[in-house]
Amino acid sequence: MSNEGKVVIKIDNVKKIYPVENGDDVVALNGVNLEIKENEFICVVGPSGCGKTTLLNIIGGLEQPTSGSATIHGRPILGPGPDRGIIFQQYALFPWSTVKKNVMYGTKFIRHEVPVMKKNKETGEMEQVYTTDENGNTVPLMKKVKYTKLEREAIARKYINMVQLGGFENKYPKELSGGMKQRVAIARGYALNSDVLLLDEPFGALDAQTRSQLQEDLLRTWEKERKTCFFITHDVDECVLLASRVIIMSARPGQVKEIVDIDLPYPRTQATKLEPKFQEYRNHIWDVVYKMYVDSAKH
Amino acid sequence: MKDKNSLKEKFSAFSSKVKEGWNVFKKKCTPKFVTEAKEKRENEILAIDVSRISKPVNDVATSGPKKMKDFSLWPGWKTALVGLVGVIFVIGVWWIYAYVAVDVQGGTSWLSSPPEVFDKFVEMIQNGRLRNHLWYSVQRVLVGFLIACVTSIPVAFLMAWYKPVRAFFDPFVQFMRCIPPLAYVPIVVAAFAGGEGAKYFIIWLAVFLTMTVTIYQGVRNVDLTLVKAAYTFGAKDRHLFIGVIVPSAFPFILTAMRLGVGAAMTTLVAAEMSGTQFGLGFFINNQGNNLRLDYCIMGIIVLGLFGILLDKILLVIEKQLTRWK
Repeated sequence: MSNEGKVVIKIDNVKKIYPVENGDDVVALNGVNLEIKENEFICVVGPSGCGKTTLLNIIGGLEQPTSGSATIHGRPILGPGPDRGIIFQQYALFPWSTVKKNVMYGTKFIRHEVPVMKKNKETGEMEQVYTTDENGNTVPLMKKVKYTKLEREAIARKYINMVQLGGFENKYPKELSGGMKQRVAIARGYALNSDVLLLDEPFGALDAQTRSQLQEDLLRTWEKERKTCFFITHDVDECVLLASRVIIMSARPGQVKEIVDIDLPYPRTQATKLEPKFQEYRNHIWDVVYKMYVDSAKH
Repeated sequence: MKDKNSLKEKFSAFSSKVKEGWNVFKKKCTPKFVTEAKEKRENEILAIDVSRISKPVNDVATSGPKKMKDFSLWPGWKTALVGLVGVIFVIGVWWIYAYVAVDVQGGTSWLSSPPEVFDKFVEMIQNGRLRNHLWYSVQRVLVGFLIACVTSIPVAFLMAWYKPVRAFFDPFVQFMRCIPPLAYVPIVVAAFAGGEGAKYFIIWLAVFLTMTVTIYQGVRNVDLTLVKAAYTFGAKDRHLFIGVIVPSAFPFILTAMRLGVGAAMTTLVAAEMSGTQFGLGFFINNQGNNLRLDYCIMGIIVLGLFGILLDKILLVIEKQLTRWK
């Protein structure tokens, strides 16, 4: 499954070097090659400091690579855009906005295409306007507009209900628990309706119980919408449970060490963890990651 | 271009030489007994075997109270009552001292007692002079404060956002912050020919400095993940400013306003030192110079109460506007 499909994001020999004054420059990424295909759930694991977040920031357009290229649908990534939603570990909710306003913020600046309507002078009814495209076909004339406030509220309501936070719309982030805050962040990411969802250790700060719950929720949502996901974690169990493909990265300088296709059927639940195949994948990935940890500790 | 690079290299070589020299100098100049004491201490630490240090004794007597006393559930009236007791205590001490002060230093010292001050208060209210003085001061404080608000907010935001602006204003702000307003009063009075402008300027300057520094810190404190998040949703710089920077700096603006009111009140006496016959600051200063302690103390109390009132108003506004905190 993971070998087919359209390539959405292509990372080509990306290097990222942070210059350090009076010292050796930090090489965060050293020639990373990666192809992310449509409807894939990619998990990136690796020891801390292996440049996972740097890679995510480059895909998200928050940072530029020192050399090499990152493209989305063949276009170079020049900055952040609504085709890539990011969910941060620190939730990044606006503390001055309610849950509803926070989720609505995700759809504030994006535009969508709607047909141009015109009033027919004779009948007095609204009619669609048509035009001819370059092939000579008659097509409806479209225009780009922002979502109306009502549309945005409807979208927000849908995704708030999806993350099971109905009834909390008018609460402020300070009144929510960590797990609920992360649900709001996930709803906000989904409300963007982007092609790709980038998740930077979203469950890293949560307790084990809440994390399992949110993992299942994320799986349910992903199985429904099959949005391309790029998920960063340091939890080996988590990456095997969620991913259709696991990227193992090596410690500084960051490089792709190994790519593992996880051939476990969806839908998956926490019970999937008990299957022998899961254990195999887990042990294998753990071995690779742990070996790197031991190697880096020796130096 | 080539010259520039060689110059740069020369400079870095020079600076590393200076650093080296400084290290040698430091080593040579450190007295022998200091290095010896350091070495001795180091050896003593190394000689301790941590695994052989015995376990701490579970000594109830030294481990403090079982539970910290929790005052978070105190009702408001209790807090107010204790505050009142504090005020009464201070007035009591003042009252007693006013009676015994006559005997201190052989009768040359004295202090007006609370009833005398209260009498003057009633008298000044009845003849309307207090209202007159207060009105002048309120006007000066408000005008100076409002101009400071309007000017310090954009300056602080620009300083936090653009490095050249910061570089431009920072030396001035840091320099003026260290100078008590009393020092530059004569200069300002002379420059403004002693008009109302001088008073506004002195109050404005004090409030402006306080507020600029506070708001600047607030804007610098903006959570960068929020900025990143806004960018990923397609926000442009102006959206970012209105939607993220201003709301997250907003509590700091309100805190800065409260600190600014304090600064305005403390500079009032300096601002009204000369070039006027009206205002609470002038009144306090004048009565103090004439050794009319009763009037002077009354003026100070009215000034303080006025300050508390302004602060409380701002506090209520702050509570209302930042309920999300």
